[in-house]
Amino acid sequence: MKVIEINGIEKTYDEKTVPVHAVNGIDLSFEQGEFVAIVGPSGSGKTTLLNIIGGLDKPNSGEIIISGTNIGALSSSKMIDFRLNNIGFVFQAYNLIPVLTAKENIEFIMDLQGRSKVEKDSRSLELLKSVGLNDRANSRPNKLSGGQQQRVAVARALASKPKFILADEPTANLDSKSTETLLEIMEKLNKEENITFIFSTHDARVVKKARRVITVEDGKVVSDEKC
Amino acid sequence: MKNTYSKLAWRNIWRNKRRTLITASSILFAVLFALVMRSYQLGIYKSMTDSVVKTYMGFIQVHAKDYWDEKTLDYLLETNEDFINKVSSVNNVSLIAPHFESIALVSAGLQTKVAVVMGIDPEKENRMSKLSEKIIHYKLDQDAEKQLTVSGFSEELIVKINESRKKSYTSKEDAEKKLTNIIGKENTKKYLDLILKRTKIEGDYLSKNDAGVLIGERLSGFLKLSVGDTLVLMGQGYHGASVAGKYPIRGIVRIPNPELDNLIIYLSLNECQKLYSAENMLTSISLNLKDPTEMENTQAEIISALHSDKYEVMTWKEMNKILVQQIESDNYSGLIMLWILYIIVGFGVFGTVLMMTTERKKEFGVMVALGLQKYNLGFIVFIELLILSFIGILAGIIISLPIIRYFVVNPIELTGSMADMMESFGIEPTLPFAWQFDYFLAQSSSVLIIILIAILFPLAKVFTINTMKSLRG
Ligand SMILES: Nc1ncnc2c1ncn2[C@@H]1O[C@H](COP(=O)(O)OP(=O)(O)OP(=O)(O)O)[C@@H](O)[C@H]1O
Ligand SMILES: [Mg+2]
Repeated sequence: MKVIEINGIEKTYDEKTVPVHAVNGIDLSFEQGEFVAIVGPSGSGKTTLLNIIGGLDKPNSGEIIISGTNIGALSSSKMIDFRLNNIGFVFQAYNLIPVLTAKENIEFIMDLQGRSKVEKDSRSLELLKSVGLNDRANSRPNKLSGGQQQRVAVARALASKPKFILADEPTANLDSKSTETLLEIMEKLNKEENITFIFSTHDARVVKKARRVITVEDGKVVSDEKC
Repeated sequence: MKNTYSKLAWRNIWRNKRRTLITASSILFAVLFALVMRSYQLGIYKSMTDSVVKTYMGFIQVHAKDYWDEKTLDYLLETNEDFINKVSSVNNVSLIAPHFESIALVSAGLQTKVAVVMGIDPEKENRMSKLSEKIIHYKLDQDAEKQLTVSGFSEELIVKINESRKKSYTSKEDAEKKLTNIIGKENTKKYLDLILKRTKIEGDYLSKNDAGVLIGERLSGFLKLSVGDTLVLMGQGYHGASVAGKYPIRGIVRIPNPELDNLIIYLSLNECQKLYSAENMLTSISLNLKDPTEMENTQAEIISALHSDKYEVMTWKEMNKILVQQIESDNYSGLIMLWILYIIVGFGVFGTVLMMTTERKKEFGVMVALGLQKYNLGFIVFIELLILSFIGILAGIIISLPIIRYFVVNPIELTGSMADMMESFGIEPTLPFAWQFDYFLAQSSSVLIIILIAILFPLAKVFTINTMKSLRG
């Protein structure tokens, strides 16, 4: 089943002197359950592409259709609700809410969705367990290691039961041990629960785990291989 | 959900404790300063008006027409039951004190001086101005000084009391309070009984048709008169004839208004009317009111009850335009000063809040990326700032209460040039604080409004946050 389809997107940053074509005509589509790495040199447009897919940024032209919805047509406030219910995010710098505990960070998303207390409670504990952090439920982010924070971030991204998860360089701030743990968890979730992951990375070990690798250069897709 | 918002707001307040403390305490000090300063200002106004209203003027006076402008005995009120009944029929009037006021020359021995002679109904006057409580019962004259030194009281302390110029006391409590300020608690405890014994002087209030007088302390000092001595009053009577009378002094009174203290002689109304050969005549009646805030309405009611252009009904404000103006302009400058303070605090709050929202921009961006609507984000930040403001305002109120209370109970007694200046304006040189709370709400809400204005811009930035930019920042 097709979850994302993007057609002819272009994004130009209008820097006063020279315009930068961050994304320069990309067509792609993603199926449910894919495990995709987006690679390419620095400045090639990976982050821009992910932001556009996630509805955080708008392309100058082209369309993005997620499960049948053309997100370019959504108002900014509708887009926020759409993101809440359909897209999970994992950021490079973890970006957990510092004043909330690990469990509360996960519950926050479900709060926004208006889930019941019982549901929040059981699902957040279940998710913490699946990322191996059930014993740290009540720790605030500053009491967790970078790897642990990123695992909470993955659990948080899953909390809303999104259609897919976007992760921009999720392992860039992690040591190799934590990188490995995180990837194992992501792979397990992908295999066992058929969750779609799309992540960008510079790390060859991370690329190796991917089952599809998309290479971008100068805002264009130069190769798209399944392995 | 709302629960989560308030949880976020509350925890964020305690996240940067130092900044919270700085912001809350700047609000606290603004409120504290405003309340203490206001209670000081209002206290002064109250004591100023009290010294006018309660000394003899009353809230409202009724005169014969043109008396107020001319102030001569050509314009007198004739007292009859009908007139008094009409005035007392007005509901808000609680007391009618008749006055016969005129100028006379007073002489004793070789000294002669101009005086204000005030004929009063002793009982009513006492209810109006507590005149009997102003009679001096203890006085440290040279005789008393000598006796005190003989009894072992140190000269040094006598010098101190002399320097303070508070050498006479109306009661034991008055003496205790003043002496504590001058010679300290210890000494007062030790010597109070001795001082009272050695400084006791005679002094009685007037009886109904008393043939004697009460005299202001300063005037008695000038004329070198004490209780039991006799003085002579000379003046011009009702029909222009010269009149004179001889009166023994029953008591010496201290009038808070120093100028008046240097002029006043009280006489029973009867004797006064006899002196000026103006039986049944008055210069004015002074009225006390049950509810002073209704003064203007009451004035109108009296005017319509009397229904005659023979009379003139004036409020104390109309009779003391200059004082009222002074109070008003002082009040305005006080308020302007407060608003300047508020604006300074407002800028402080603006700075810290802007810093806070800028620092947390990335976090805000993340929350919006995750699916939090911008208006809800703005709401969370607003709640956070509101709680913070309330903490500051509440703390300011709580801390100001005991401070104000302290100064209400222990008014600051001024000495030196400041005191001289105030006395020259006819005001008693103490700074009593007001113990009233109507201005608390006004000041607290002014502070709150300033805060709301100060956070408007940072908050607007939160409401319209650019998710992409914040995420990158
Ligand atoms: N907000 C912006 N304003 C101007 N130029 C931008 C902006 N965002 C990105 N760019 C430019 O667009 C191009 C693509 O940037 P992008 O961040 O997508 O690259 P990237 O592949 O994610 O790089 P990296 O691997 O370093 O993260 C770069 O040349 C970058 O300078
Ligand atoms: Mg990037």
